[in-house]
Amino acid sequence: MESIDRKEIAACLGGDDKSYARLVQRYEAQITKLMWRFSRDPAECEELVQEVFVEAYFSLKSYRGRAPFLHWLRKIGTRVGYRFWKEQAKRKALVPLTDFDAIEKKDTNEVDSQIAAEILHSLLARLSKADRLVLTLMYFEQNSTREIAARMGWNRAMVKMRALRARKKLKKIAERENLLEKLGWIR
Amino acid sequence: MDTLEGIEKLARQAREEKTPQFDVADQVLQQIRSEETEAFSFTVFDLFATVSAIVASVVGYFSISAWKFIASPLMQFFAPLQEIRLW
Repeated sequence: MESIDRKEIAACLGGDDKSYARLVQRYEAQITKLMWRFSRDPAECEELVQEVFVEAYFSLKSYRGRAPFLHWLRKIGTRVGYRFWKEQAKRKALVPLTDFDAIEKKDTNEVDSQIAAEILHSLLARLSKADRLVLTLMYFEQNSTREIAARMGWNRAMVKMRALRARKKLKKIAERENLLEKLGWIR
Repeated sequence: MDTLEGIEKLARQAREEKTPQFDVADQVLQQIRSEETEAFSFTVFDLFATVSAIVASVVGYFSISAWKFIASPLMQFFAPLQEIRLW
């Protein structure tokens, strides 16, 4: 896969648009999945995915090929998403957890994955942007602190500390919102 | 169950969510082309602005030095009168 990517990147740098279209088609599903963590509005998410690929195209010369192309795209995607949160910070209205009071459950132990994602998204939205990013990448993307630090160009110790504090804050928020009770996970 | 364990469990279930599918390749190429055209027109504009600034500087430089030698026609009209005795 990597050698195909390299060939297509080289062709693209030589002015072949179609090879870039092929790269976009190959990775758009993975990038969509990542950008869905930043916006759950399909129209906004689609715009973010486009933005990632456009930004990647104009930075293509700086791609050294040390890591797989998808890693590089994810790095750009995370930064685009983080920037999007910054721009949205003042405008964005929070989804109150009371909206999830009547949660439909498959059984007492399991929640529908879409609803679970919505709840987690709205919980994380109550944190500061940096805290939210760290926990979003940890919970949704299963990234380690090392990966988050590398992706954002942050110090690893700072990411660890932030993750610890963010978890504490999230715990407080979840307790205030009686999350476990609403999910029926308290007997 | 601890709250953090509950959140971890919620996250496990959230990860199984199906995300929407988009086909953005055409829009991406369109946007790239339009941004490249925009960038090109900006380059042309920048070039024109630079050339204009250089020409303006050269003209300004010569104008200031020429200013010192310009004789006012009004002063030239009154200059002979300075030699006339008024009394």
